[in-house]
Amino acid sequence: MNYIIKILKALNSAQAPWQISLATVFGMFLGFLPFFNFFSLLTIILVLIINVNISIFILSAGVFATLGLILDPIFDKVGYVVLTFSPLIPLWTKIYNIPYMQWTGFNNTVVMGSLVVSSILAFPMFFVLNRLIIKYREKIAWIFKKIPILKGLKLFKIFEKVQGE
Amino acid sequence: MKIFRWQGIIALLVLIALISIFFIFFFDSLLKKTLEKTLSSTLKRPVEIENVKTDVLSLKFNINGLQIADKKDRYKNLLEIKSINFNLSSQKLAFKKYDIENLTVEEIRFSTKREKPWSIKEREKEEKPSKEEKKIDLKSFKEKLSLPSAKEILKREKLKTVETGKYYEEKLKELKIKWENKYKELQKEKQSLEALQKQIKELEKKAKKIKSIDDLKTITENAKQIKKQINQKIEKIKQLKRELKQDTELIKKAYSDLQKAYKEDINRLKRKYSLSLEGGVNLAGLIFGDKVKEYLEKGLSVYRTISPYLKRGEEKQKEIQEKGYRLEGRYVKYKETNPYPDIVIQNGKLSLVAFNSNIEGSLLDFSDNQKIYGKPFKITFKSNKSKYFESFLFDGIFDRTKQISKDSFTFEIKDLISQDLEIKNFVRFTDNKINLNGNINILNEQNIQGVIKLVFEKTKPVAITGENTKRLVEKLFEGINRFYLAANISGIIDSPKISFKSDLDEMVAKRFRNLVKEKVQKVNRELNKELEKYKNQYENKLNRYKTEFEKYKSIVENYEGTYEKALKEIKNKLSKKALEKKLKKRILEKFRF
Repeated sequence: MNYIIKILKALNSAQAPWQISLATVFGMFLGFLPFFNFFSLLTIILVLIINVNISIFILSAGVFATLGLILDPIFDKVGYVVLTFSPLIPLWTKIYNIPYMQWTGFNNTVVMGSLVVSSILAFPMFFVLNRLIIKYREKIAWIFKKIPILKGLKLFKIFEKVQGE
Repeated sequence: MKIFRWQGIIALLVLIALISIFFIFFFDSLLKKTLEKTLSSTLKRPVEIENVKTDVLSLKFNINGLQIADKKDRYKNLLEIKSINFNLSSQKLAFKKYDIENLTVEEIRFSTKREKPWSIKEREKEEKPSKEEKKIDLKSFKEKLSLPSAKEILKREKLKTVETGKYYEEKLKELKIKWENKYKELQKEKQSLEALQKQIKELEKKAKKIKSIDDLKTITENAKQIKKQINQKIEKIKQLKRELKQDTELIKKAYSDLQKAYKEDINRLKRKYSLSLEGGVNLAGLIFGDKVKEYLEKGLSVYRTISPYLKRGEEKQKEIQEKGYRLEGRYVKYKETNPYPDIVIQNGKLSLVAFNSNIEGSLLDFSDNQKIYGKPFKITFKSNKSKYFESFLFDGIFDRTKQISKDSFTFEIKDLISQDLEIKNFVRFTDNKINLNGNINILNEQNIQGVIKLVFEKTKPVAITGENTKRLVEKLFEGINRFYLAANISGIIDSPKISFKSDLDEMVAKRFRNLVKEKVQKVNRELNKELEKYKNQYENKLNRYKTEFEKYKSIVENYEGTYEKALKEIKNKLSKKALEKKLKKRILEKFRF
């Protein structure tokens, strides 16, 4: 219930839609990455610096981490294909020989796979979510205020609580 | 709407500050725990570290009180190290390479006692030490020497001499009865002989007075009758004589069979109670075998632990591993501009505590990929005179630079004063001074071949058996104060075959053989004497029968002679020719007057 409240709270807040969409995308990056590494740290730094919704980021990271459990074998295969793709090997070799780059774990199949999948999904997800939030605010958000019968419902009280803050 | 938030920058700074604090206060203990966990799972045995001190900025590491537990004994450590100091090269670390220029390892100790047993949680992995103690089979020694006396042997054994003696005794007894009867019959012959002799004399008288042809005819006819009777008697006596000869032959056979049986008994019993030392004794193997095996197994255990790290860098990719709740993935390696192994220890100063002495050592060119590094890993321990030895040298070379790996180890300890070595309830070797040397080669990390030689330059064997066998053990080891033991190692490192060769076995076996020989000779002498008694007893009986039979023979021959004499007399005096001559003479005498 708390998660739903947090989502509704974010959706009905004064924050811009891109702040919520970008937080979800960052959450996806962090959730899909298999363990704490350079890219996870980079994502967290970006989340702290860029003005995105932190609650949505945490929620999104949790949801995508759970999804990552199932998708890991796919990340591994995608990562392996990308890392061993002949035209890209000179690039990877170059990166590999740059100091400290090996510590990033970019040459790990699951890390690379999750980064590639996250990057592919990032833009469509960002724009789709943006559109959905705008549509939600235009078409659904007012219903909670207008329909009297809903006022008596528990959900409305929650909604009011969310609106009020 | 602001794109960036300044609070986030503060939060980031706070995060950095927190991480720094964490590094300052908690990193060492976290690293300690991580190292313990990683080493325990890698080495598959409990590993404990007293403390870890790090200087992250200068990349200096100090590990104190490392204990690698012995899986087989909860109260023992396989290896204990007082401290390990090293610093990593930041230049190489940038490329995820752990390059240690100088490593110092202080006080390496093998097989040490733990202050407290390793964690109960590890109990499942605990393998109970084998309490089985090898003992010399003193019983077999004693059995081999516990020869029964000749009298006991003769009592428990079925003797052919006695059997043969008894058989012939029975036979001869029957024959004696038979001849006693025949003798009685012969006594009757005496009368018949006398009657015949009387008849002959009467006929001779008649022959002297012969007057006519009718007289000649009558005398001739009577003489013929008597002759016939005598011939019949002679034939009967001859038959008796033949029978007697035949029976006398049995006595001869009895003599020969008795002699044969006696010889057979002697040989059989000598063979049976010969106390042979077939199979010999593997004393040296029994006494020192376990110790050699124990040290070899410890050495191989260290080798098996080190060996995989020397080729770890050769693995191109990590296999997919399911670890924790997420997949760990694989690391794809690319061509390096400046190839370098992942782990390198260029130089190391080691100090080993063994035989109650401090032995200095050095380590050179350890790397996890010798094919890239191009140099084999060398480890040396060397020490001059100490309280417990004259000199100590250990050289180990792990050469993985070529396709087929070749690891070789040589060691030499001169005049090592070793602790007492003993076999429970048998013998203890005290005041030992040993020269130990060996050479072991391992090809392809699998095939092991080598020899370890221990020369006991000085030793004093002491019998530690019960009172009953003390004298025996003392005699076995009397005067032995120098011997050697060579252990030949071959096969594969997981189950090496060890064969032992030692002059101790030969020396003890020789002493044992002499003891046995003395005992056997004594028993054989007694056995001969006793068996001869049996033989003589039956021979005496045979002699008596022989005398009896000779008596019968002489009687029979006497009769035969008398009859033959009577027959001769008849032939000479009462033949037709002699009677005709007599008649002619009588007639001529009559006409002369």
